[in-house]
Amino acid sequence: MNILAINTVGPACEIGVQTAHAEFCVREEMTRGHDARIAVLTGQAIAESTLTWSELDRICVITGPGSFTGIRVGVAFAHGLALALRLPVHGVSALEAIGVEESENILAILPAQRRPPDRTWWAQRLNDGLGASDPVEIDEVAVREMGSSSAVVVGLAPPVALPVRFVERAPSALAAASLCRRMSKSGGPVRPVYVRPPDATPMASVSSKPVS
Amino acid sequence: MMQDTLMVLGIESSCDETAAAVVRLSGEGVEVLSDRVASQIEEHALYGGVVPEIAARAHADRIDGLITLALEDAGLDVAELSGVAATAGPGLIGGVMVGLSAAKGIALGAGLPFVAVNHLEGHALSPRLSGELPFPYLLLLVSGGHCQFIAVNGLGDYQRMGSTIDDAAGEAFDKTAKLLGLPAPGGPAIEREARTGDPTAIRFPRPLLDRPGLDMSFSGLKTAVRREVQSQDMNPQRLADVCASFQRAVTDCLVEKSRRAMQLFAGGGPENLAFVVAGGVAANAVLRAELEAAAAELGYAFQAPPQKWCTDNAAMIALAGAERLRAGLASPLDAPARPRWPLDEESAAANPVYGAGLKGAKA
Repeated sequence: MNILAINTVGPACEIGVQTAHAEFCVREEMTRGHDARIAVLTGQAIAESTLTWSELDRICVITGPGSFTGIRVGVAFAHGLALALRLPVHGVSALEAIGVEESENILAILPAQRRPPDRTWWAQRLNDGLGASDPVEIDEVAVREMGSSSAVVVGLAPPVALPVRFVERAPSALAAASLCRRMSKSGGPVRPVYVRPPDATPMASVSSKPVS
Repeated sequence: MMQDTLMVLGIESSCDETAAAVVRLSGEGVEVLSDRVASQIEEHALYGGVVPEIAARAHADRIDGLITLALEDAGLDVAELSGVAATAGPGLIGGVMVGLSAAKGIALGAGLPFVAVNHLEGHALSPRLSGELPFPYLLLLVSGGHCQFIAVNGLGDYQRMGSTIDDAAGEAFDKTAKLLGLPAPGGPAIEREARTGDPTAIRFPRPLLDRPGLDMSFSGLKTAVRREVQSQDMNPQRLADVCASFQRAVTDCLVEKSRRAMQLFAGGGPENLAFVVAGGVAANAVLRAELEAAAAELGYAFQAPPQKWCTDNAAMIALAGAERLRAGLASPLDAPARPRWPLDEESAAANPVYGAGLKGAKA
């Protein structure tokens, strides 16, 4: 099976192509501008793999949580490609895309809010590499709590004093492709995973405010 | 050799409408084969305006479904298209990126030419969706995001003759409606209320009308409405009077500036003068009637696209894409989304009316 995987969730735009025998990955570091580079990098990745478009079997995209703008670009682009190629789209969460070999009771974490004192992490329990529950956003104390009941914590930028072993690893397009390989055939529309509601305040009655 | 018939998929996601359409452009003219729009009015209703993050999320949830529907409506397979066009700006960047990225995916996967379309060019060309309209013509683009006089000399040849220096007229309609507790979209709500109101009840200012030139301003008018509304208790008649008087003030500004613009615009000579109004505010019947009368008086043929193509839509983006493809003007696949993208970049750079700064002129 030949899989094209898209990773726009972190500080990079990364396209992986995975065949039964080989892997190719094209990556550019960026915090913005995924919309400009994604198609060009995808073309490069396909060229490197020497596959033709019609040899692809699946499109896989990392759906988040992560950069809201990045994941929207990745998901929309994946749908566009899939529509043109008549292929199914599969979504993999950013935490699943860390790609763990260990099978049971893993806690995956990635930094969400990086600035103290309000540091938070995206977190998801994994079983056999796949999310055992939906991703959540939690604080330092909760990471330690969830970590203490886990066999191992994987991911990036852990809080201090984790009670269990930590393995540092970032999400990647190729890890997502490996996971996608194990998924059932169907696929379907995938949606960005934000975890956080949009930052917006419902309208107050403006007319009741005094004239300044 | 020029292709005889072009079939182009257009995608629009720059504000609060997600849209996809297919247009056929041939020697016989333009035909809109499909035209899908999903509005986000409900999602934003609670917030009294378009929230960029909510808009971007809604676009991402809907874009693939809408594209599929537009292709189905047109009875076309992706492989039968001649190209894919998407709005690349100006607009709310999070949403723009969604449509742009989906379009790039289709173009890359199907090996089709891609066109990054300026949303304003879509509006500028939108009157050509409903019938023949030769260049050049004078365009008043008046919507919630834009308010400009543009000399449309040809494809890609636009000259900004005047512009709002702050808010767009449609923005003033929306904010006034919000202030009065009227439902969104504000334009139709105010027009409805104004029917039973007295347009002479309150004398609102006519900003910049006493100055020469074609530039406009609507932010002071918003403030004037706010002060008026807060000065005494509201009742149904007073609400109608405020709406009628506000609509009167905006109409006076737009009609007078349009007269001046028509007097300045030379166009294709006195025999072929055309004045086109596009954008959501062009749906206002009072404004439309008075602009039409002014145009007739000054020897102009008046044209306004039907309402569905006045507001944001993808048919105009598909048409702009098709016209660009016909002219050999495809875009590279690394064309970025542009929050700011003036139609007339020379005038905007030389004389930015508003929003200039590190990121450049807004429009």
